[in-house]
Amino acid sequence: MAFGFTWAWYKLNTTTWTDFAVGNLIGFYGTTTYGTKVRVANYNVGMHLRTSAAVDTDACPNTHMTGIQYVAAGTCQINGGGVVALNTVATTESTRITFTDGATAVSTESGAYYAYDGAVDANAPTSVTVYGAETGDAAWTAAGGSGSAVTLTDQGSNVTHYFYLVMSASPDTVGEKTAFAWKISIDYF
Amino acid sequence: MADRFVWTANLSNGDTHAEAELTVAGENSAFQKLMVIMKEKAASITGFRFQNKGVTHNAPSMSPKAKFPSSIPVTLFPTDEVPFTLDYRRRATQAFMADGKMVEERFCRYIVRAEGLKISLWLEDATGDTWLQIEKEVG
Repeated sequence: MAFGFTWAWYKLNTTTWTDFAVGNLIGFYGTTTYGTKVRVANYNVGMHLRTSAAVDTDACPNTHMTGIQYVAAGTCQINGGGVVALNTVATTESTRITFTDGATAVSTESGAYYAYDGAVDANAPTSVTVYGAETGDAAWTAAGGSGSAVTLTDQGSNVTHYFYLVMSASPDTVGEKTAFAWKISIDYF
Repeated sequence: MADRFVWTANLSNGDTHAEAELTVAGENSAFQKLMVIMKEKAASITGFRFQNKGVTHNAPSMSPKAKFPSSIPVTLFPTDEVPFTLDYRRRATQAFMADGKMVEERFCRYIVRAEGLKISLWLEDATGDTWLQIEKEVG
């Protein structure tokens, strides 16, 4: 097992974590239905995997990714349901990022998770307002740019480290947002 | 008075560069001098060690582009005169881009703490680029 990260979503019908395939996109949608647009100044309701930048089809059918929607500082909606406390979001409703350094047990610290413009870490994504959290967090972090990152919990020595992350996005303007990426950063020793 | 520290860096062009002390009032830090030399000669660091009171502490190799000569564990080395630590961390990042690409980066970082300063020497794995980060530590 080599050094690196693996991103995965939880498939409810098989109760398994499913890795993102190469080229998949994470999509934020206006309803739980794939393809519905998010209105300007509103937050996503649903989240799906899109097959690729070239193929506009749902890559997470039966069952879909769980959509987490920012509502207020400490609350969210899960797949468009009632407003609940953010810290009630289950790990199986999050996006899981796995980190390993080969077969070597390492500890992690100073972990960060944020959205940026895909070019400069410190820049927020262009025309997108974002919030992020680690499951268990009581409040969202306005995670636009590395200076505003979600602080990840330090983890003790282990071969495999799991980070369960939640994200929500709102377009500031109409149109597709391409200067919009998410990044995880881990210090380890 | 004898130097409190002597540190030595081996460069990829074969040069060996040594400096005493961490900082000199009114001048660039010793690390900054090294960075200037590296930039002028387009060289990277291949070895790095501290000497204090006749004891040599080698930094371990943490980066494929920084093939340091020793794997001596780096831990706390208190001294009678000036306490300092030589430590290391690695950093891994991965970006999930808007076009679906995953972009990874990996860094190693050697950290010297002394005299209220935290001086980090960063090395970027893919390019071998090296740079300094100097921070004042509180408390």
